[in-house]
Amino acid sequence: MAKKRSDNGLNRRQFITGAGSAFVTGAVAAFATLNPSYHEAGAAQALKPSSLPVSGLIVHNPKVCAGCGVCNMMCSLQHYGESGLSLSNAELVRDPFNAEFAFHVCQQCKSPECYFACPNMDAALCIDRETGVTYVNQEECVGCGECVKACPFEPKRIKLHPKTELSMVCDLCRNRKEGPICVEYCPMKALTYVPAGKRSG
Amino acid sequence: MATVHGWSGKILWVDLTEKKISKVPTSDFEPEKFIGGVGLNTKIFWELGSPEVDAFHPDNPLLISIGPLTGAAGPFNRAEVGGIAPQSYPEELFNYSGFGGKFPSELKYAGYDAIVVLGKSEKPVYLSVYDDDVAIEDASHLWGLDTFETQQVLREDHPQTSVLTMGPAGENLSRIAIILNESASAAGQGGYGAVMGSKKLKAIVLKGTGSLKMADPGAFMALMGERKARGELEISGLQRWGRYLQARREVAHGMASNHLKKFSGCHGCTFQCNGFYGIPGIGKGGQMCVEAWYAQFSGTSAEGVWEGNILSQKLGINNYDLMGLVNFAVGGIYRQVFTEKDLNLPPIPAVHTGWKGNCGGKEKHHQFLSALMGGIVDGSNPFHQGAARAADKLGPKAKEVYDALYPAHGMRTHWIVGISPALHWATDTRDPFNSAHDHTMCFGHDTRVAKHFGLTGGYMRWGRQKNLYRNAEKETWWVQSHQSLKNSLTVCEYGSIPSLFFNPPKMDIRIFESKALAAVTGLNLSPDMLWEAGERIWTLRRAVMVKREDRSRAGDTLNQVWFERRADGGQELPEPIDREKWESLKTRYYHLLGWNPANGRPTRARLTRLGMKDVADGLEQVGRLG
Repeated sequence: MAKKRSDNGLNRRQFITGAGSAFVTGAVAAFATLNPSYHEAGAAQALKPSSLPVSGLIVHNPKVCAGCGVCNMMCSLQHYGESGLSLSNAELVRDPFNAEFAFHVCQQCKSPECYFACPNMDAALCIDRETGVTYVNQEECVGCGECVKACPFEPKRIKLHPKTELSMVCDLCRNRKEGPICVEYCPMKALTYVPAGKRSG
Repeated sequence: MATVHGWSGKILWVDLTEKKISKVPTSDFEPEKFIGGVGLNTKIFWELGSPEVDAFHPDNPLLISIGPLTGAAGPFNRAEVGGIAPQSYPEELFNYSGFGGKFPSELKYAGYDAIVVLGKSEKPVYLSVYDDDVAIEDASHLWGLDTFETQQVLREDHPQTSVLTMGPAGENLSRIAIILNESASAAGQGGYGAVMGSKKLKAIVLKGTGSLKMADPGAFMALMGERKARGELEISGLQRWGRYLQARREVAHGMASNHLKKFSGCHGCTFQCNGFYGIPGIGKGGQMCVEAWYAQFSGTSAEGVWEGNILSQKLGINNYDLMGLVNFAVGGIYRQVFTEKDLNLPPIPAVHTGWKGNCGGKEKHHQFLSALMGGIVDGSNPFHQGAARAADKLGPKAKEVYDALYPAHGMRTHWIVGISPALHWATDTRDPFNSAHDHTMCFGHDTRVAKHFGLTGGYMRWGRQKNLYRNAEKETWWVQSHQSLKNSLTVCEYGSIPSLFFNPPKMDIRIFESKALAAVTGLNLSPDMLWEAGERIWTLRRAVMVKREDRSRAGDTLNQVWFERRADGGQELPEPIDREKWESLKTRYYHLLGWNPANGRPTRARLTRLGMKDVADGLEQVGRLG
């Protein structure tokens, strides 16, 4: 369903991937301040890294993590109404024979490269102006993958949905009043939500 | 009608003889009536004609089914293995064994409700499943590897997959071979590892990128939230079983303070009850409940305890059986019925040190364990065939020792603690208690919960119980229906003890299971209707027993010794079973279940009421309708 074809036979993703990089570089340089009327104006507006609000983030404690994946299942249920690992905004890499588990989740960078890389920033990849949370608006995302390329982490903390190929990233359950669901349901209390004011880096 | 969620809708059907892979619609097997897990396995087996072949025959299907709830967060991520079990005694019976780990939820995400493996490969193979992409691959490089090595080698070639495998015991067709996923998640009962071995199927590698779609995610989250608010998702209680609860204090303390790395468990579960331990030079792995049995004869040696657990998992031998076997061996040696030599074993350390101290030290332990398990793998030890067949080989006196330990139908894991559990075992095909803890962890001592469900209970508090036999049939029926249901949904044993989620009249385990099913699938079955599914599945199992194995009233019994004296073991019955009261209890039980009390076969009336007219016809055709 993601593969909408444009007239020249390229799908939307291929088309924008090609055009994207130049476009974004220009956009960042050109707009220094936030223009709240962006949608009406129909032009891309970006925030300067220094003026971005800082969000909280989720911290994982591998020492007690059991690798159970309740975080993934609840995350996918919360965001997509389905329970599955590939639909989770965070990824759990498991080594069951050493009981070692790594939890890869968006680090909510203070200067989010993914955001600046998005050719449709503030429409597809957005930053909540109040909380500073990075989130994807899947209605607008075309799955060009520029955000994934730009993510400085390895493995990448922003990924493409295996079937729709649209971008997925942890949004700290911004629409859930109780906060991140993975933190709430982690049976081992291996996940902690660190609010913006208490972030160390 | 709205779309029904929960089930993936297809079954992966593999014929290893023809090297043919196909996908069969789950709807062919009426999943809304038989749910999944044990129910689906039994239905498939029935539709295959309940083949009267032996366990190692190519026509014996290896059935691995999950349920509609599998894939959701909670204690739902289990699978059930079915097929004709080599371990059953006195003859091979159609049986069941469950396991957790990562594999079951991955199977749901890959888009299947079950895997059915038929036929037999000439060369070792493994099955690789990436969603729809399924292939039979060469496994000659894996043959001979232990279960941990196999999983690690395969996970290198197939990163972040889940691997189901068997060890050298399965390759060599030991009747007590397990199927293992990760560590400590095993289908232990039945000897299904040897069924894989007979098919030359070394492993199944699985990766699923799909998901479980829910009819009402909000309702499911509300149900989880309600449980969370009441503190029912807290992990504390069950983890004691991962802390060597049954071991000597020195061992339990030594293991917990020196070797416990963390707690872990099945995928998606909120309980995480497995202790994950590691001792340098021996290995790392999980422990939950039964693996503590090595402490029975290892005295104070934590290393000995741990070596036993790791070795049995790697070789793919059932820990439950090893526990029974060593008890049997020790019993026989004490009674001078046989010696270690007859068993092809070195001295059992504990026997010769009076169960004290370190029982002869690390070296002696190592020798004993290696000889015991090595012999089981290569067949030089009669235990290769399981305890029952070994006892037959060792003569009638050994059989007496065996009978006192193994109440009925071959497989021993638990002692019998009451008349209702005794009737449960007598009418099942194996020791049912490791998927029927409702008896021991709830009704046996919790009369409050028992009363809520209209049962008597309380039989584990000896002295308070006046009439052990009264209403015992009702509890047997209740637990068998619940066991069939949870093994089909599939809900974990420990996550479904009736004293959990107990907040009547608003919430109890029956309401919980019905609400969870409604939220996931959209099928609004009342607790009573869902209960009927449990009874239906149990009755279909009975129909298979009657059709294939000519199970009868006479076959629903315990070994003779249980009627004569208090049998051996720890938490046994307080007195011998009264034959007369036992038989009248059985009659009441057959009436309750709608089976003919004269022969113990299901009647047409009850089968029709449960929506199984075709099963009644099938039984009539072979002249075995009740």
